[in-house]
Amino acid sequence: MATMTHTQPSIEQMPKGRLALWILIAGEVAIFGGFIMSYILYRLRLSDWGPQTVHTVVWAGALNTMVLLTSSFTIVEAHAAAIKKDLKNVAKYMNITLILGVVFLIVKGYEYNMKFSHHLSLTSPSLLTGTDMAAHIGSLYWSYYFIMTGLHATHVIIGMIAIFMVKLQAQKGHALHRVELAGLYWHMVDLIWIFLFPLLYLAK
Amino acid sequence: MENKDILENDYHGHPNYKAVFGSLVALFAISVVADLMKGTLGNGLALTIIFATAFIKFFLVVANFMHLKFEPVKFLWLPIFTMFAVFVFLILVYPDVSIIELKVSKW
Repeated sequence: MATMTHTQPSIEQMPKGRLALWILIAGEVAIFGGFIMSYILYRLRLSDWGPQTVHTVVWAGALNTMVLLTSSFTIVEAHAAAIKKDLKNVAKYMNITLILGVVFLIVKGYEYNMKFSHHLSLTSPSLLTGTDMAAHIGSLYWSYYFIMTGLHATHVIIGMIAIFMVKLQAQKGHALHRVELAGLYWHMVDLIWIFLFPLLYLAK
Repeated sequence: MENKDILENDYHGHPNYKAVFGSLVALFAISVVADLMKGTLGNGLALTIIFATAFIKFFLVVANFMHLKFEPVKFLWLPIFTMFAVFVFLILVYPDVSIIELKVSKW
């Protein structure tokens, strides 16, 4: 059973796997932070950027936000169960996290399908053929949208693979410390969406 | 340190995860309501509420679910420096973006 220390822990006491995950997370913050910052700059400077947001589906974004927040809760409960060596609950909570990840991807797939049916894609060629500069800015907007959400969805898939692989070992009582590491990566995925949702869906 | 030792000797505590999750859901509900009431609140206030709740959710997840508040203080330089670097990127890129509209109008 984990106990709190009474003195401030040192960085040397920090498990190396956890430190490595945080370094990975720092790299991901740089990647997505750059995308989000440049998106914000374009949003503020280009008057034709904002109107494109009318095509994003708020209810789908809201549903995905709830799904990811809940999955963050379930993976941290899996970690708490791992500390207590409660293997049944470790497997249960990790399974729920995986199911929620699938739900997220299904909703994202539905959204992408809707966009494609309106001829909105990574390059939006129908917008690029116009001479109107607003259309070109619109095409740039959709490039940003698909790269940011597509990269995020890729991270969701990678996180699900990691959780599944850790679960296979953890449910047998092996390498239980990796439940927290997989959880850290999953929380990072949730954090990115916490900012993508208001940017892409609410700030219209 | 063996793997089992890491789990048993880990120094971080465990907040009330259910309470934190409840707070996250409440903040999410506030942001959705603010968006729905944009007409009443005004765009500026609604967006302020939406992004303020996003930041609070961010800190709740990082501090409680990711246990950052239990990590060594020295370690905090890593996430703080990364976020600082992202803001520096914003400032450095701004001059390039600010002239875009001028270029567009000359086409």
